[in-house]
Formats: sequence, structure tokens, C-alpha cells
Amino acid sequence: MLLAMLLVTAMMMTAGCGGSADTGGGADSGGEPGKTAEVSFSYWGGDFDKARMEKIYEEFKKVHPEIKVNLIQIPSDGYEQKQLATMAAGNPYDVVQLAESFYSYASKGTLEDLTPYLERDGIDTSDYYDAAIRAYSYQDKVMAMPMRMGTMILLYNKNLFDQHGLEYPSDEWTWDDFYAAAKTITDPKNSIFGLGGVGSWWASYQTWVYSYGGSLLSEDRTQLTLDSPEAKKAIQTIQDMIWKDNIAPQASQLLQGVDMWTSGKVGMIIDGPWHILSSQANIKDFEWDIAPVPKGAKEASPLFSNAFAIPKLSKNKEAAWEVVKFWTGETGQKILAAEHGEIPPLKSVAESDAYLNIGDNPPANFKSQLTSAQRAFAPQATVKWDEINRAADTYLGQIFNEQRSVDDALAEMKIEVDRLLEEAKQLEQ
Amino acid sequence: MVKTRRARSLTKRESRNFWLYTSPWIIGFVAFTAFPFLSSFILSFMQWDVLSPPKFVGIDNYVQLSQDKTYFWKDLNNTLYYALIGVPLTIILGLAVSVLLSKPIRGINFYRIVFYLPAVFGGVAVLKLWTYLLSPGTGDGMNPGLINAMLGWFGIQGPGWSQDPHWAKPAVLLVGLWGVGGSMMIWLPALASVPKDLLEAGEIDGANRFQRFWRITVPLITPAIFFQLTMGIIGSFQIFMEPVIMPGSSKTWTDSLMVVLFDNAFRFYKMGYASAIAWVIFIMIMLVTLVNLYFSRRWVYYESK
Repeated sequence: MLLAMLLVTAMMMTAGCGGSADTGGGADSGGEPGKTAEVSFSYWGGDFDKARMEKIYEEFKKVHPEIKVNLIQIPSDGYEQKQLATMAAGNPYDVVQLAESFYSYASKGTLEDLTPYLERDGIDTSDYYDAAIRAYSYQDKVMAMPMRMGTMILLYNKNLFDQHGLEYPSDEWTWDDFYAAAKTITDPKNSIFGLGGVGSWWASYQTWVYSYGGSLLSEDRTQLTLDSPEAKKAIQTIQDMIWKDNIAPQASQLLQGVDMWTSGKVGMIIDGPWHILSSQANIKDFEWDIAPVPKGAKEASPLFSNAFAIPKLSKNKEAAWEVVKFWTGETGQKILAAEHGEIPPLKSVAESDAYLNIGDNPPANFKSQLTSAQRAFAPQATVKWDEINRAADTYLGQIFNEQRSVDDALAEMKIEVDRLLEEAKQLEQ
Repeated sequence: MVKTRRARSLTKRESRNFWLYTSPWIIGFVAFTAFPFLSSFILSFMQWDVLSPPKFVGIDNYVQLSQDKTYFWKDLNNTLYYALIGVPLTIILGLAVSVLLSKPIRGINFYRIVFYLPAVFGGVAVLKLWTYLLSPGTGDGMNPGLINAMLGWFGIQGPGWSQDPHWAKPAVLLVGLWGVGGSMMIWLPALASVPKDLLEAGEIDGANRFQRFWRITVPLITPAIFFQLTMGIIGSFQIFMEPVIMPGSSKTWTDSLMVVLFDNAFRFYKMGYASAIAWVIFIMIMLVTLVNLYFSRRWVYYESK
């Protein structure tokens, strides 16, 4: 085990010392029209993703026969390591898919600034959802174009609501409405809860924190602000939901090996949009629908997204840009829209029937995804994104799993995270 | 006496052949063991995120490590728990099972196979299975894990296992103990090598079964005990898969030193810091093993000496 790790490290080291293992790039040609150019395009995911990418490529060929695209599918597990190794070796893929790790790459100067390309080709970034563009801007420069997005949404079990004669959640629901309904539905004796799992995963707790008017970090991302009164109130609320009123299950009340949502054990879940597709496939015994997450002091919902960027060291930037432009442009977005899953960041496509018309399939209120998208906020990524998430996992875990006092745990968390942010500042200089 | 030219060229050729024939091993050793070993040592004095060039920071990594109460010290604590409780348990249970399996009863091979099988299976899938077996809950509308359900038959309220801060580590250990039959490979030959005439002599002298085991068998198998102890300690310092696949509700309840090393290297890309952790683990294992060796002289008995 130990040896294997040392080995990988050593391999990365040799790569870093200018080894020229041919990992990424393709043939070196300028990509001028009339000439063939080759673009290596790396993305993560499974069969769904592969099918989508190939579909878009079919369309791309019709428009750009002169550009050959090598689609390289990398398993999600280990994607970051692979990407990092090729970048460190100075031979990256021409187009790379990124999510929250975007910030790390951008701050280390490894990505091409796309702003001049956008200006030259007259692409208006305001045609896209604002949060999605902001998520991939570094120092006000757009460094990647968003491909897919989604936000935290509320899914609810209509049967459980009917059973208690409750009104369904609406776009105007507040956290108070939510709490009251959840309390009514909860019946821990029979493992029925108002709300499914809530926890220290970033999007989960930040749903409450931001809509209560708090934030994770200060505006300039130099300090943890989870200890502000608003954020503390949000975190205290989550702890109360689990321990005081038990409207959300404690860890020991979770049913192992059973999806509590699809088996009808919870009234609501607040989670990512991927639940729409899996609910359509797996829910047989009850009616369900979706709504935006409830409102607090603010209307806010964490944004999930991923985007395509061009590494600075790519040898085919022009051809790579044509690829990014096409994939995140109308044709690529329409192909994504036809899945009726994640939201296309290009507003005109998201608001069209290509995306919204899902026939007779649930959820009836599919359109509310767009309301959620309007309310989305991009997560406050930093170079230390992963480490801050670990800190949240540790300290919020103590609050949610061990009933530790919010004040104590957050005081310790602040010390740790502020030190990380200090490190980040030094790294970025 | 002067060597003839021919003899000289012969030694030359021989030494050339020596290097030629050993080269596969030498190249492998240098590339895959010596080089990473040294690189990690050098890296442990640097700050390196893989993308930017490494920066020399002196003993900063080690200083930071010594102050990292939340992760490093806590994980060290967990690792020591696994070593101090897990290793003796593994030895005692492994030996007990092997003693039972060394009896000449009918169908012994079947029993041996049954006890050995868990060591053949293993890996992630089995750990996942254990996660289900050790589900908390005790009925009343919950679907408890099989283990807690069985405890329920005897009116015992099973614990929350991974979801309970006090039971998360024992759960990890329990899963490790499941494969205890695998150590049969070491124990059975050791038990078989205890001379029958000694045991018979003991019996004639009126020693009861327990005395015979404790006074005759155990001293004669001390080399095997020592071997198992050393390997067990080294293994428990490197425990990784169990806490990764079966973490507590809060990872810090169960994480081992290897997990904190892995996270720093391949999640946070702090290669320098991770190398420092690797070296601290290495030195700890080294020291424990040396101490073990030193004291072994007092209690390990080799017949040949």
C-alpha cells in the first residue's frame, strides 16, 4: 500500500520534471480552416455521458469536417488524478471537463482565458444562467464554458401529504411552512420522516445557510463566515431537525440498503436534480412532484455544474475553442435538453419545449427547475475546496451526529478553515 | 602468481554475466523501490501540489504534522487502537481456531475449508456486505442488520455500530477478525511440529490439558507467535480499506493514518505533507518492529539453539 503510493508520487515527480510521456495532446497543427486539426477531449462519466458526447460529435462533424475530435472517457473515480498528471507533464488534453476543481486549475494559471474568444465570436455570456458563468470565472475572466447544471430541489411524496391533508409545497414556500409539514408527517416509530437525509455534504447544509442569509466564506474568500448569526441559526435548525424534533432521521435511524425516498419512507428530500431521473425509474407506489427549495431570508439554492475549459498548454487552441463553442452552444445544449435531466445552462434552450416538455411523465411541476435555476448561487470555491469540505465534514459532523454545541464546533472549524485560507492566499501569490 | 589473460577475461565475462542476469531485479528495485523511497524523503521537506514546481520548506511539514490534532493525532490514536486491541485479538482467536482445527476428527478438511474461506473472499464487496450486516436498529419499523436482529432474539439491544462514536472502531475491528481463519496457514504447521512425546510425557507426569497447552505447546510455538505479532502490528499500521469502505458517520471516528496520508496525497495534492506522513508511519513501524525484535530474545524459543 505504502509502496504503491510512493510509486505514484514518484511517477508524478518524473512527469513534473519534464518527462515527455505522450499522454494528452494530439497532432500539432494550427487548426486553420482547410487543414485538419485533431482535438483530444477528455470527459468523465458513464454510458449516459458517452452516448451524449458521441451524439453531439455526430452533429459537430457536419459543421466542422476539418476537425477530428478524440473523445476520451475517463472514469469519474480518478479523473482528477489523471487530469493533474497530464497537466503536470506539460501535455494536457485540448479540452477538459471541470467542476469545483476549476478554481484550483484557474488560480495556478493552467487554463486559457476564453474572454477574447467569446468577444471575437460575439457570444454573449448573459444568454447563459448567471450562476453558471460566475462559477467558471476567475478574476472576472471566463475560463470555462458551462455544459450542464442543476440545483438543489425539493422532491415530495404526494401520498404522504394527502394522508395528512397537507398543502403541497409551492414556489412561495417558506422554511416555516416546510417545518410544520415535516413535523406532521414524521412518525419515527414507523421510520417515517418529514425529511430524508440532511448532513455535512456541502450542498446539503449550504442550502439552509444561504437561504437563511448566511454564507460559507466572506465575499473575498479569506475568512470562514459560518459563525455569523444567520449561518449559525441555519446550522442550529438542522441540528434541531435531527435531534430535537427528529423530523429528519438520525444516523442510526437510516435504513441501510434501502432508499428511504423511493421506498416512500420520507415526505420530502432536498437534494440534487439527478433524483428526477432515478425517481422516474424507481418509484412505483406513490405520486411525487418537485418544487424549488423553501425560502428564508433569501431565495437561494446551491448550484451543481460542470464546464469545458482549454488548458494553456494545448497545442490546438483554435480547434479546441470550436469544440467548446459547439458543445456549449445551441446544438449541444439541445441534445442535452432532450434527456430532460440536468438543466442546459443556455437559457433559450432551457426555457424551450426541447427541455420542458416531458409528456405525461412525472414530475408535473418539472418547470419549477427553472425557478430554482434563477435562484442558484455558485459555491464559493477556493484552492482549498476539498480541505474545507473535509473540515465541514468533521465539525458539522460533530454537530449533526454527536449533538455537539454549534458554537464550540464552529469556533474550532473557524480556526482550521481560516488557516487554510491563509495558505491559499500564499499559494495564489 | 600472475593471472593469465584468459583467466582475466573469464572473470570479466563472469562479472558481466552477473550484472546481466541480475539486471531485471536491479532495474526493478531501483525504479520501483529505491527511487520512490528517496524521492518521498526529499519531498517530505518540500511543498508540492503537482502543478507548480516543488518548493523547499525545511521541516515545516513535520512541524505542521505535530500540530495537526484534528486529523493526524486523532488518526494516530485510531490506528493505535486497531493495533493494540486488534493484534492480540487476532492472535488469540487465530490460535484458538487453529487448535480446534488441529484435532484429528472426522471431516476436519471440511471445517478447515470453512474457516479458511473468509480469507479467500474479502475486499470491497465483503466490506459492503458487512456494512449491511452491522446496520443499526432493533426492529419496531426499522430493518435492523442481521447481527442486531440476532442479538434481539436474546433480548439484547444491539449498538449503532458505524453510526455510534463508541462502536464505529469496534465495527472495523470485527470485520477484520472475520478473516482470522487465514492465519491457520501459520498456526497449523507450528502446532503439528510440537513433538508428541513431550506432550505424552507431560500427560504421564499428571499435567492436565490446559497445563500441557500452556507449558509445552505455547513455548514451542513462540516463533510463530512472534512472526504473527510482528506482521500483525505492521499490518495494523497500514490498515486502509476497512475505514475507507466502512467509515463511521463522522470519518474521524474510524480514519487510520493511511487514510490521512491518502487524503493529503490524492485528494488535496499536498505531496510534501503526505510524504512526511509516510515517513512518520515508516519510522513508527520500524521502531515498533525493532523493540519487538529486541524483546523477542527473552520469550521466543528456537529449538535449534
